[in-house]
Amino acid sequence: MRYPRPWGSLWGSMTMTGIETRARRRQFLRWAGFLSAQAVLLPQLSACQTARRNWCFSACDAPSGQHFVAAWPQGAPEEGFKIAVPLRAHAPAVHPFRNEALFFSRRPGTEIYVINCASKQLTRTLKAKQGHHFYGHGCFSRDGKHLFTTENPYYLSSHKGSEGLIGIYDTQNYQRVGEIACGGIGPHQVQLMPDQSTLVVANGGIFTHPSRPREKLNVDTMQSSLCYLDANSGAIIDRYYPEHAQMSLRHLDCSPQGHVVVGGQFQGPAHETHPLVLQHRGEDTLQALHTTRATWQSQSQYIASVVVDSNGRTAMTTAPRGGVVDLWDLEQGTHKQNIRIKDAAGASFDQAGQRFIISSGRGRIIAWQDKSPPYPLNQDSVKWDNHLLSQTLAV
Amino acid sequence: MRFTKSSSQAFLLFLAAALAALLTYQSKQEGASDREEAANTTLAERVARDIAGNVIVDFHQQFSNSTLALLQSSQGFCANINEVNYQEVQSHWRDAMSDWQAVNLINFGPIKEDNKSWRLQFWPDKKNLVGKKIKSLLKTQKELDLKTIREASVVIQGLSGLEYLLFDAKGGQLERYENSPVGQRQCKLLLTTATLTHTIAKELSQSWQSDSEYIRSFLHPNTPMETNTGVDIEATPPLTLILESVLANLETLKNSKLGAPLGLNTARQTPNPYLVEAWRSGFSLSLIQANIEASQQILINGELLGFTDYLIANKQDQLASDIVMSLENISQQLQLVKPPLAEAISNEGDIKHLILANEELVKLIGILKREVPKALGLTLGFNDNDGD
Repeated sequence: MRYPRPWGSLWGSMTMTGIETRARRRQFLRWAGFLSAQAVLLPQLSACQTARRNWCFSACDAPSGQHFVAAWPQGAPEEGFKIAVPLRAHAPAVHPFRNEALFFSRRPGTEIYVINCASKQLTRTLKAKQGHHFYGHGCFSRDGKHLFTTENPYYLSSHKGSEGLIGIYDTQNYQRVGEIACGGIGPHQVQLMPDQSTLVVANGGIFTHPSRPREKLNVDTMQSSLCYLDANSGAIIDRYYPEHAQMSLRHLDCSPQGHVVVGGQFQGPAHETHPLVLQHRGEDTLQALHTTRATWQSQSQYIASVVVDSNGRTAMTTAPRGGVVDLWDLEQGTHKQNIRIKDAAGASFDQAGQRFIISSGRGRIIAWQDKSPPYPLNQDSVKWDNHLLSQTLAV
Repeated sequence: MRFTKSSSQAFLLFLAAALAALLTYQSKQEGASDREEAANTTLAERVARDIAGNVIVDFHQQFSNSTLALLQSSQGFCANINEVNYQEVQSHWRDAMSDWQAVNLINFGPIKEDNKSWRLQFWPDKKNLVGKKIKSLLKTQKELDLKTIREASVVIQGLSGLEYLLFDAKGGQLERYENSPVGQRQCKLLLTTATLTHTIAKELSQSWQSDSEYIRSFLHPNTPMETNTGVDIEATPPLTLILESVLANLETLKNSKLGAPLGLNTARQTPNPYLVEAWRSGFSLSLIQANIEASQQILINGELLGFTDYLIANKQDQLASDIVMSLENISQQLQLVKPPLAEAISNEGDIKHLILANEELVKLIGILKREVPKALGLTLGFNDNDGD
């Protein structure tokens, strides 16, 4: 084993055969149905016990260029907060039981900002391990005891690139307790599957190095992948490749049934048109969703956020370069409709309101319920960054 | 700030530019007040209307005209293949390509549909796909009719395809056309590509007629377009749209048309002549000049109201004259470069001016990206050009 694994009893020298891993993958898909029913019930039960409100979380930049992390209760933006931070943040994650939000600095950032949403204070800044940087995403374990982050161990190579890692932190004190290989270069968004022990990660395949911060160093040889990892053992359960090696898979969401929808950013020739939204429901290959060539072209080769609704039937993707937001029917695997919103990148599903929420770089927050026209919720002077999260808090 | 003139000369130039900008605005104002129909029209609306009527419509009409001239001269050439007609087509290609620089500045509206921009020009072409694909197509027996070419790869279409057919050191020479039957096939492709190019240019021009739905949508962004299938939730004010479009064009100019050939984006800074926009025709430098002239037209807008007038009206005279002066400086530096650009990028004397033009571009982009939006309270795109 290349990396120390001090976390959990299953961190031995466990390896899996292809048959075993596929069997495990099918097993978690079966479990997902049962667990998703619980997932729907849990928030409702807790809502009866404490007054919980639905909050939105997003990083943003002021017109001056100052970076902030922000959150607000829906319908009461004045009760929220904006906290200045040194580095531009990318995606948020909210602890499942604490009123605590984390904001991950974007590539090649080395900080995670921990915010106490009750006191509206920055309580801690986590620093990346020496020689690593974050990719802007992370998620919590179901019990909230651990945090998983996507990381680039760039110290290993300055010219060839090296596989990325999932960093593991104990959320009691946010000490780093381990790391596991993620099965590809450039891990971006990571999520915990409904089986609560499998992580799914979109490996963008692009090697970058902080010495040349925003440069893509291996576009001609890149290979993106979608990987399923056993969070306990670190084993790679399964790995799937997009049809085109230069389709950089970056963002994803997982339905309560354990189906994964993933959005790509094409790195090949700018005039080519390829499907940018794929789903995986246990098939042997990733399945491109079906729509017209004109729809794929309208997204300008770039998907920013992917979010699936709480029943797993509809997904939303944002394409800020094309200025379009699309809805997808996941059961049919087809495109439903789109709306044009300039610079819209953040997307989340508000479970309580059963609606999608969209944020734009022009300060807009917009709600969209299926079959109804979208409507603005609020307008801010800030530029909302790539990702938006909706989650309930007891605040 | 770096000037080629001494600092006192630079100061005088600045004063002259500031005064010229102010006087131009005042005279435009007087004219504008006569034309004003509705007393409650805001200045921003009037500026947008003048830009739409004088710039957007005009750019597209010009392009439609020059591609028609290109098509007609191609027909004349193929009917009577000789040196004079060959040079005539080449000359009309240069005109159409110059007008395309202006059309390229309007990166919103109908150009976004049906891959039109790629159909009109396949560039940058880092792997010489244009040459490879056209050569291979000409060797086959495939039909070269409009339907086939329209459905074929965008790589062989548009002005970049025509540049190969008219200027390539091997495939674009007059002898190729004189050599039947290869010449006949090449003429067929030339005519089909010129027809398709003009068809698209005409479609664009028709979409941007002064009473068209696109113009109405540009001027009144909150009114949804009837032809849209989706819903427009966020309308972009016209001046924001113009500013974003000009900025995107200037970024391309800086990064791809000047920076990349000069090797400014690489660690070794090695020049690469095949990265200039029109290396086959040796016309790249004139195209950059045409691009800057089109930017001047859209930002200053001659006798009508332009972006700089709007800045002056908002008490941002300094910014207005900075923009005017910056565009002028870029143009002056480029005039000192000896064409073709593909050779100038390796010539020490020319490199100096190209670097100065590039630095001035960086400055201009900074002004338009940061200072102008701040001064005018405009919100530019954020995620759409810098995602992750």
